[in-house]
Amino acid sequence: MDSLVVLLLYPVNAYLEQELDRRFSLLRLWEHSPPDSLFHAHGSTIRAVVGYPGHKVDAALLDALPSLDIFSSFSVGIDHVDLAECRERGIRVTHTPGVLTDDVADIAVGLAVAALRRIPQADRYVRAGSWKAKGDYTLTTRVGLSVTLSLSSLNKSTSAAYFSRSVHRCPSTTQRSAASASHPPQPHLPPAVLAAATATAMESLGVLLLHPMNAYLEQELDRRFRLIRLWDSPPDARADFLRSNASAIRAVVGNAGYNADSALIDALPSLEIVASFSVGIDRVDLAKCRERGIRVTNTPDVLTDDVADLAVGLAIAALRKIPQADRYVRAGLWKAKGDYTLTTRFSGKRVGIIGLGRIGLAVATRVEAFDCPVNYYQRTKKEYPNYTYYPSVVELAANSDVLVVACPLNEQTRHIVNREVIDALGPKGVLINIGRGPHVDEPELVSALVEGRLGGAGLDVFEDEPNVPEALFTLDNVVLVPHVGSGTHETRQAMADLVLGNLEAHVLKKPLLTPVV
Amino acid sequence: MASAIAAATAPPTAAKHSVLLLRRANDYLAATLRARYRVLSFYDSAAPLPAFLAASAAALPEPPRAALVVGGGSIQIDATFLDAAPYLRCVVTTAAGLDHGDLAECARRGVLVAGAGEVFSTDVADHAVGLLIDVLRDVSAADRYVRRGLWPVQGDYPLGSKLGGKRVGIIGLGSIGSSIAKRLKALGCVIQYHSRRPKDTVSFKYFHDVISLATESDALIVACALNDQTRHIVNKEVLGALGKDGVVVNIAHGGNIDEAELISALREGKIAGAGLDVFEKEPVVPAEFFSMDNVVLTGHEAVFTTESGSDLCDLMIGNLEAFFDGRPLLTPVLPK
Repeated sequence: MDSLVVLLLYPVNAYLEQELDRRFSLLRLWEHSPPDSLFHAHGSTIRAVVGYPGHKVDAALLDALPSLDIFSSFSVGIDHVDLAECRERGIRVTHTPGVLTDDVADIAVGLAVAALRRIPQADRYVRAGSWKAKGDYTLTTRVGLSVTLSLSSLNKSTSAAYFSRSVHRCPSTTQRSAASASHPPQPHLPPAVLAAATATAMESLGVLLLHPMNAYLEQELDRRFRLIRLWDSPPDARADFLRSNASAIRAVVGNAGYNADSALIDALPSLEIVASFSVGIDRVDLAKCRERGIRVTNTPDVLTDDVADLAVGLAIAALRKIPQADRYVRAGLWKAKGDYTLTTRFSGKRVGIIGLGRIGLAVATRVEAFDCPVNYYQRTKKEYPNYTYYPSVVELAANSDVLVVACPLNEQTRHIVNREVIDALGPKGVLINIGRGPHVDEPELVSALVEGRLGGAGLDVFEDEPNVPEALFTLDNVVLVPHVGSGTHETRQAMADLVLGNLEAHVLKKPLLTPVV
Repeated sequence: MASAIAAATAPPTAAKHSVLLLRRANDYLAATLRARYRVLSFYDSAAPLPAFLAASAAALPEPPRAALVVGGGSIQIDATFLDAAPYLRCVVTTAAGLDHGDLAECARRGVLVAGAGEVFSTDVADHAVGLLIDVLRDVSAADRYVRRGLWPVQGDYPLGSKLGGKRVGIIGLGSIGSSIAKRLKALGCVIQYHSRRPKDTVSFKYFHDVISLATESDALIVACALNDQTRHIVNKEVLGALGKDGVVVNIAHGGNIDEAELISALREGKIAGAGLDVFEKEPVVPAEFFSMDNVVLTGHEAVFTTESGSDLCDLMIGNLEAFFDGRPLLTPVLPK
């Protein structure tokens, strides 16, 4: 017996380790660093491995152990073992069924009761002194419910265990026949139990909210999940704050201004999903997310109308100088100096759109009602019978009176509106930016407006929000609004619901609503 | 374009007809008129109106048979005026229309009236839409916020209200009202209207009276003429029916809205906001509006674009030509 060399992969149980050591020749993987040194030295003598669900048994491991005869898992589940490889190499595999069945079944029932009767929460409530201070804890829901199981997914002894416990707890239990093919082969819990289990899963999702971006969103995140507010920590203590919350944070909610960049992702090893409260996700390190398998969602479609409406509103405001006229009237100048200046008609102006995506198309259909000819530029020309394609932004600008930026921000579109484009748009042209500040070379834009080389602009976004170049404040040929493109009650609520829906889908392992990655 | 027409058909100097100019004219209009007519300009003479009209009777080669006026302006084309200028056979108005009473007087005397037709409709409609978007999305107020340097200090601007799905009640579905409807429909608004009679040619919901229109609307846009029936058509009751989330836009006439009631409704939060291009005593704008962030004010300028200026000039010349040629006016206005 003492000639059998056994490799134990992890100190999973003291008694097991002690007996393996006593009865066989035991090697402990964790005593060798790096693990390869153990395989080099003893690989060819190891004939047995004892493992557990946390360590994969795959071809790579098996290659390092040419003399392996048997793998024994300290578990009943063996999804971590490449059974096909083992079969091929003639390696026996054992596990531990039966002996743990009772305990696991007990835990399942225990969890259901704990969830429905909110026992851990009530415990926290008492420990916090709230029973004395606030009175009785909330009412919960009765456990006496039927639990139906599909037997085809469980081996008989396990299901019998669930069954017997259910009968004792819940008089009305039914069994579903394994032959029923229309039902998915999974344990099926009634809605109340499922809701309780779901609520527990939701509450365990640690969500880091980067900024107080929306009261309703914040309130719902707090209610449904475990909310951590980044601004609860002062800016200089941020690193420590993230460190101490890192293991809990599995989700991040950002927006146009504050999002999961490279540094933040690095600081959150448990991060599983970034749900952005925006459609633009230029501030999310998508490459890093892809690399780490982190999901990313945004809020497309629900804000399209508002952003397109604002583009039209800014264009009319800029051409017809509405805010300027409003200032003129409020200053008493209409009475003192007479009529405000003549402006220029909006209807019929040639509108050039950079990016005919959802927002670009929505702008196009709106301006068509003003008899504006529509031109566009994007990477690929598509068949739009009523819209004229231009193969470059400069040519688009040269043939348009109003130029609208409506494309996503990425490496190719940064400063897509540069000096050349601004010059082509010209002293009668108007730039409308409802995309992102970095789409436009801002210093160039400012000097062009100040010098009159560009006719005017309507700007919702800036390179360094909330800082707007002060040279613009005294200009009469520009309209400035503080990133309000999606800023309506209706749309922000819809965006919040989308963020919440994506997070819930993630917890429930359902398809994400609006995934980007 | 207008100058080309003027140049192509300008008669020789001796044969020029006389025309009374009873409105201020910009250089372009003045030059275009002088190229084709002998212009007797009131605002260039020092005389008061009655003396000017009397003197014009003696103009050579003939008294002016046509006059260019601003309908609804400071010179009323009423019985007194027409008595003082019996030689006038045609009045060409360069605003939307004449007062109903004035039209009746002209008709009684066989004086033809030409209006501005639909020349202003586009720009007024664009302005109305601009005002509505401004009021709902706080464009001017947000612009003030940014210029005051408040964005870095006070943070994000408060939320506005989405246009899509809003029920917009248009009072008066003429050329301007229809143009507004077409534009707002493309922005996802639900269009409904009130006018004297329902229009068969449109599918929008019709309301017999303004109060029911206001009750079921999120925004009211005043786009009707000003006459006895439509004076203060938007009054305290209508504003009450519109409700605390409702907004009103006026690009028609100051007199269409009871201005004092509008001010109280805004002050007391009985309606949510207003976009106004016209006022009861222009150019006086009640100072109460100046401190309101939910109101957008422009100085009766919905028509004032260079394009409508030149379109109007073309139209006026066209109407004068038609009159002097004995042809039907291009845009005749008849009493209703």
